[in-house]
Amino acid sequence: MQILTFTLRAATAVLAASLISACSSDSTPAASAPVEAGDVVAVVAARAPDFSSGAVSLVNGDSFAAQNNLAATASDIVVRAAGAQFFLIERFGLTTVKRFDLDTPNTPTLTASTQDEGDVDDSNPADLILLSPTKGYLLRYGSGTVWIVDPSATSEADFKTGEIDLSHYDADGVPEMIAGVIDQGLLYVAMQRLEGFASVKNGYVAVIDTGSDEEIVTGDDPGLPGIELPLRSPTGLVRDPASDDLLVIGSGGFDGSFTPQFEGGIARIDTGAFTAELRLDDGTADDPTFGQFGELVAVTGSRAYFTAGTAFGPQSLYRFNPHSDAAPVVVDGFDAQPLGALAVDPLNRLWVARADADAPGITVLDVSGDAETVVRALIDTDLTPINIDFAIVPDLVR
Amino acid sequence: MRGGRVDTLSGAVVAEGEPDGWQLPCGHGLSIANGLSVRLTRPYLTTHLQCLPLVAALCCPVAGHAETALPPLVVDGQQAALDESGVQIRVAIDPLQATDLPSLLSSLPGVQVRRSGGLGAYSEASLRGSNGRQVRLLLDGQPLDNGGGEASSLALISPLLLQDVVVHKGRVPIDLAGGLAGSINLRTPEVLHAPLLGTASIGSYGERQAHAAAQLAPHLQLAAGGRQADNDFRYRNAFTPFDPSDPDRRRRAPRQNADTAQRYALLQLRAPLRVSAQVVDDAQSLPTRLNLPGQTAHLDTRAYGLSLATADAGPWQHRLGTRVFDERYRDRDSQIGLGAQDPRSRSVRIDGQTRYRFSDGSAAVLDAGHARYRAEDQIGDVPTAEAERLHLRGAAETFHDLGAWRANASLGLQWSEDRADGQRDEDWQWAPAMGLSRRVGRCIAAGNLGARERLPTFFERYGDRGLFRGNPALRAERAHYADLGTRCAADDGRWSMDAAVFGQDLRDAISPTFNAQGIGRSINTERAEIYGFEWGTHARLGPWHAQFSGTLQHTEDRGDIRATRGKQLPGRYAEQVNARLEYALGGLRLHYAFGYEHGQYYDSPNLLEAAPLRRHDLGVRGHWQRLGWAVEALNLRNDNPEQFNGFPTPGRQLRLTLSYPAAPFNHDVPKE
Repeated sequence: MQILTFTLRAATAVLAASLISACSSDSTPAASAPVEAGDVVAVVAARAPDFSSGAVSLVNGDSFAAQNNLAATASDIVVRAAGAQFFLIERFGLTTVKRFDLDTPNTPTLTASTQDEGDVDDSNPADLILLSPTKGYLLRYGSGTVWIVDPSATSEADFKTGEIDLSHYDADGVPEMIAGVIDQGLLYVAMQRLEGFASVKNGYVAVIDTGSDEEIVTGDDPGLPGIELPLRSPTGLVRDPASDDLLVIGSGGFDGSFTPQFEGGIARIDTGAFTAELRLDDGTADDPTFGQFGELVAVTGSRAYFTAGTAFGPQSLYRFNPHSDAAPVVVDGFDAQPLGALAVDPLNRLWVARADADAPGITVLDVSGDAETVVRALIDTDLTPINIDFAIVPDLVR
Repeated sequence: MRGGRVDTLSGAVVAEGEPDGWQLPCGHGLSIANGLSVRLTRPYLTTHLQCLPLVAALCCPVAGHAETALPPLVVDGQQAALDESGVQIRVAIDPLQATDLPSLLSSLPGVQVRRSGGLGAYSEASLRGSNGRQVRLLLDGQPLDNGGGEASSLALISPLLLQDVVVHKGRVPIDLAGGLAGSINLRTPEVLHAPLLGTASIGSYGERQAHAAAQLAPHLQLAAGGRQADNDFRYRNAFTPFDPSDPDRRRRAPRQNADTAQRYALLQLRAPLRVSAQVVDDAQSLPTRLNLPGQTAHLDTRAYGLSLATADAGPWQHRLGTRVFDERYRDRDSQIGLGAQDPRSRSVRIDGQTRYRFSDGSAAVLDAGHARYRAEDQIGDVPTAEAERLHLRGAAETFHDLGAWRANASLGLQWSEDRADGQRDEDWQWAPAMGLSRRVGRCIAAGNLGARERLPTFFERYGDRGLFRGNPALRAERAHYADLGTRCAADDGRWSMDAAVFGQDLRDAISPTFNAQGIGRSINTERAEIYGFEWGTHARLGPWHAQFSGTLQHTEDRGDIRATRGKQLPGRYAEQVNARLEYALGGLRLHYAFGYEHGQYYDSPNLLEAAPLRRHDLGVRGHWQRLGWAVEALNLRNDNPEQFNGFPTPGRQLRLTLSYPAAPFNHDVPKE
C-alpha cells in the first residue's frame, strides 16, 4: 500500500525548512506556519515483541493510515524525521545511520557507519540532533565523542565532519551520552555516566556552542564543565515551551543487577544560570512515588506528560504542570498500561505508544482541553512502537 | 557501560534380537525384533508391487514370515532404520570424513544444524522444526545437559570419540532420555577396530586436530585428543568503519576473537561393569557482530562425566552417571552484554536408571536424578546463586502383534521439583506414546502419536549471561506429535528410500523474549504448529553411490501476539536438500556433496530472512598401506552463511586428514 507520495515541488520546497524544523529531538513542534494534519507524517520506530527485529512505520497525520514494517532491521533503533526524509539510527551491534526518503522508505539514500577507525568498542549511536540541513550532532552512547555530521551528505565519506570530546565526564572515557536538544544556539547533551551497568553517580548535561562546537564551562569545575543533574540515568531532554528552560527526565537507573535505584525524577535546567533543580522525585524503593520514570514531553508551558511505573512492567501516563507544584494526575484510561514512547505532533496532539504485544500501536489524544480526548484509539503499527518523530510535508498527495 | 539497550531399510540394520519378534507381513524378510532394532530376514520380497508408498502398505494383507536373519547390509554414510515404529538415523563415524559433529549431522533429513562460526564454535541441532533446546544430546545414553547454554552444544564432543551417532525422531525408546522433539545419542565404540588408532587433521583458518585411542586391554580403552582453530576466516563485514579505500566494504577482513581450543579424554572399562570417565576442557573466544579489534569476551567450559552401567544382556540393566559442568563466561568490557560480567556456574547432576526388559520385549524403567546449579559473578551479582532439581520418572513400554500390525505403546510419568531462592516448584509430566507399523514387501510403514513435555533448563530459569537472564516462573513446554512414514529397501542394499510426514503441536513453548532494555529472558508463548515432509534415498550403481535427502517443513506461530501470529518460527528453514555423489576409482573414493537450506527467518515477525545456504564440497580419500588420508575442499562458493544473525561461518576451506589404521570404507558395523 502506498499512502505517501510527494510532488517534486513539495519535496524540494520543504526540505530545507523542514530539516530546520526537525532540529530538536524532543518532538516538540517548531514550525511557526499553520500546519494541517494532512501535512504531518509520523515516523515511528518499532520493534518485534521479542526484540528479534525492528522496522519503521509511517503514519499519515490525518487519516492515521499506516505503512508498517518498512526498512526492516534490528530492534535497537531510533528514528528522526527531517522534512521529506527520515534517519534511521541503528544502535548497539549495528552502529549505522541510514537516511531514507519518505516515498522510498525501503531504500536508503545514505548508509554510514558510526564507528571511527580506531574504535575498539561499539559506538552504539543514541540519537541524531539536527541543527540545519547540513549540520547535525550524532550522540554515541558507547563512545566518548559526539560526531558532527552533515545530514545532507551524498556519500559516507562526507557524513562525518568533526567531533566533540566528552570523555572527561566518565573515568572510563565513555560518559553514555543518551539524549540531546538544541536551544538558542546551544547543544545540550545528557549523559548517564554509568559504571558498568550500574547507575552510581548523577548525570550531567554538557553544553556546546553550535557555532564554535566548543564546550561551555558552566560552573566552577573545569574538569566537568557541564551541568550536574540532581538525578541519575537521564533519558530525555525537552524544551519548556513557555521559557528558555529545559526539562530533563531520568529513570534513576539500576544497580549492577537490574535493581532499580530510585534516584531519578524530572528536573528543570535553567539555561541562563546553567543550574538544575529537581521538580519531581521518584521516591524510594519502599515508597516509590511514581515508580521509575520513563518518557517526557511538554505540550505547552503549563502542560506536560510523563510515564512512570514498575521497572520492566506497566506504566502510567501522568499529566503535570512543569511550572506548578501541583501533583501529577494519571490520565484516564492510562493507568498501569503497557506504554512506550510519547510524542507531541505539530498540531499539539499527544501520541502515546502502546506496548501491548497482542495489540500494539499508537493512541492519539487531543490535549487541548482540560481533559484528554481520544482522537484515534489505536493506530496499528504491527510491531511495538518505541520512538516517534514527525515530518511536516505540505502538498502531500494521499 | 557500552552495551545496548540493549533400513532405509538399508539393511545394515541391527541384527541382534529375539527370534520371536514381530513377523512382518507379506511374507518377506523384514522383522522387527523385540529389541531396539530391525533386522532383515529371508526370503526377501516376492514382488516389487508391494514396494509402494504408505497407502498401499497399509492395505497389504498379512502373509507368511521368514526366520533367517540376514547379515547386515553395508551402506556408507547414513542409514535410516526403524526402531519399532520410530525412526532412527544412524551415522557411522569415518574419521576421514567427520571432523566435527555439526557437519556430520547437517546432511540428515529432518535435522537442522545451526552453527555460530567455525570449528569449535557453538552449534546446535534441532529435529523436525524444533529448536535446539528441544533435542536431547546423549553420550552412550547419558544426558549431556548442563546448566549453561541454551542447548547442548555439538561443539563439546569430538566425533572422533564416537563410533556412530543415532538420531531418534518421533518415538524415543523409554530408556533413552527424550527431548521434546527427539534425541541424538552419541555412541562410543565397544571395542576399537585396532589396538591403536590415531587421527590428525589440519585445515584452513588454523584448524588442527589430533586424536589417539588405544585398546589397552580387551575391556579397557583410552582415547584422548585435542583440537583448536583460529577461525580467522575472511568475510565481508558490513559494519567496519568507513575506509575511503574501500567505501563499499568489498574487502574481506579476518574474523576477530573467534578462536577455539578443546582437549578431551575418555577412559572406558567394559567388564564386568561398564565404566566410562570423560573430561572435556573447552575454551572459546566470543566474537561480536561488529568484529571489532580488541574483543576479549570468552567462554570456558569444563565437563567431567562418570558413568557405570551393568551389561545389557539380561533382563535387568542399571545405570548410574554423574556429570559436573563448569562454565565461566567473561565479558569484562561489556562487549556482548549489559555491563561487565564474569559469572561462573557449576552444575552437578547425578542420574540413575533401572530397566527391566520382559521376555516379550516390553520394558519398564525407573529413573531418578538430582541436579544442582550454583553461580556467582566475580564483578556483580547473579539473579539466582543456587538452584536444584530432583526428578523421579517411571516409564513402561509394550509391544503387541495385532494381526498384520505391530503395535507399541509407552507411558512415562515424571515428578520433579525445582528449589531456588527459597521457593519450591513442583511439576508433573506425563508422556504417552503409541505406534503402529507393518511390512509390505520391501517396505515398512509406520506411524506414531504421542505427547511429551520439557522442563526449562537451569539456564532458562536461573541463568545470567550477556543479555540473557533466567525466568524462574517458566513452566514446562508441551508437545503433541505425530508422524507417518514408509521405508523401503532393495534386497541387496543397492537402494533404499524412506519418506515421512510429521507434525507437532507445541503448547507453552519456551521462547526467548526481551524487555524494553533489550534484556532477554525465556517465556512461555502460547502455541505453535509444525508439520513437514522428509525423505531420504540412496542408490548404488557400479562404482557410483548417490544419496539424496531433503525436508520441507512449515512452522507457524499460533499465539496471540500481533506481530508474530501466523508467522514462521524463527531459526527454522523451510526447505533443505542434501545430495552426495561418490565414485570409487581404484583405491580412491571421490565425492561431491551439495547442501541447500532456504526459507529461514532470523526474527519472529519474519522481516529478516536469512540468505539461502548453498554449499558445495569436494573430496577424495584413499589409503597408503595402513594410513588413510583424505583431502577435502569445503564450501567452494566461499560464502559465509549466517545461521545465527550476525555470526558468519567460514568460507572456502581446505582440510587434510590422516588416519591410522585406515578404516575400511564400509565399516558400518553396528554397536549393539
